[in-house]
Amino acid sequence: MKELVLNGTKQTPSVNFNAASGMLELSGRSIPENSFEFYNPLIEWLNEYTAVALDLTKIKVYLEYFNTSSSKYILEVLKKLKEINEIAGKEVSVEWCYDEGDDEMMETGEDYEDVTGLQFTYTEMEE
Amino acid sequence: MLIPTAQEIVHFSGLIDSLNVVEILNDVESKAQAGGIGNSTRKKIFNIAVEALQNLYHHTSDFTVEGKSDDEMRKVQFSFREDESYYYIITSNLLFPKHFKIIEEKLNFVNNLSVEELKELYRKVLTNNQLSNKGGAGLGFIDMRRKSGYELEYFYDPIDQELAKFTFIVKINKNKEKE
Repeated sequence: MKELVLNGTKQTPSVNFNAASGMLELSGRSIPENSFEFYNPLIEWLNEYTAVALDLTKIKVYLEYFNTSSSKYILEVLKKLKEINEIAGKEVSVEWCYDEGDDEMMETGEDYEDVTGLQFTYTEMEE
Repeated sequence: MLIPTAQEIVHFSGLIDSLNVVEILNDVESKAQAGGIGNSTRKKIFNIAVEALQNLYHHTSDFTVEGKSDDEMRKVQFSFREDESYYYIITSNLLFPKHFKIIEEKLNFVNNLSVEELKELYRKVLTNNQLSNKGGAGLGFIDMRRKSGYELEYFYDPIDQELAKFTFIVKINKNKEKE
């Protein structure tokens, strides 16, 4: 399965989803006006990945900013991973990274952890 | 007059499109950085500016009134200001009174919620699987209210029988920067 690699812009995050290694990364800022347009290819990639998911899938999320319109699609990405975990019975881990002192971003991660029931680890990145 | 003692840091007046949303945000970010605003406050300012500008973008791009030019109807103002105690993100745009009623109800609702209630509402709306036909998540006011920590303020000035000017103000405390 082809990897999904997108370079980040001032409005959209960089994406590196690799099916062969089971390592997924989403980082940068996510403030597009049209979040559907940006996130739909990611959701479609994950739909395809579900069938070939490795025993362990790791996703690293390190977002500096995201807008409320992205927040629902980030949840969709995480829900797809939950399906891999629950339906396909594969292990999924989420590493939620945030800038040093950015407690709000950490708490946002906790919201996602509670809502999805996925296992999160938190990493505070030094500036 | 609005916040008479506040100094203007960034000002925009005109038609909003996806290109100038990016330019205004760049301006807000670079002025906030140059002004030595701490990380936590700078992030709040940027996040609130994103939501406020995208609200303008989504809700004015197709605003038309028969007999009036689209440019006149869609013109908006955005301003980033400061006084001794607060930073302010201020927007204004034209709207119909019936739309104002809906906005006012939403604003009054989030303004009256406690921190815990806002958190609960945020989670509820985040997980409701609904997106507006303009791509909005219905989370903008909740998020701005949470990030600001203050009530979202607004003014409503009727212009004629069918139109009014809506001014929206979000405050950010200058002295709450985390150590």
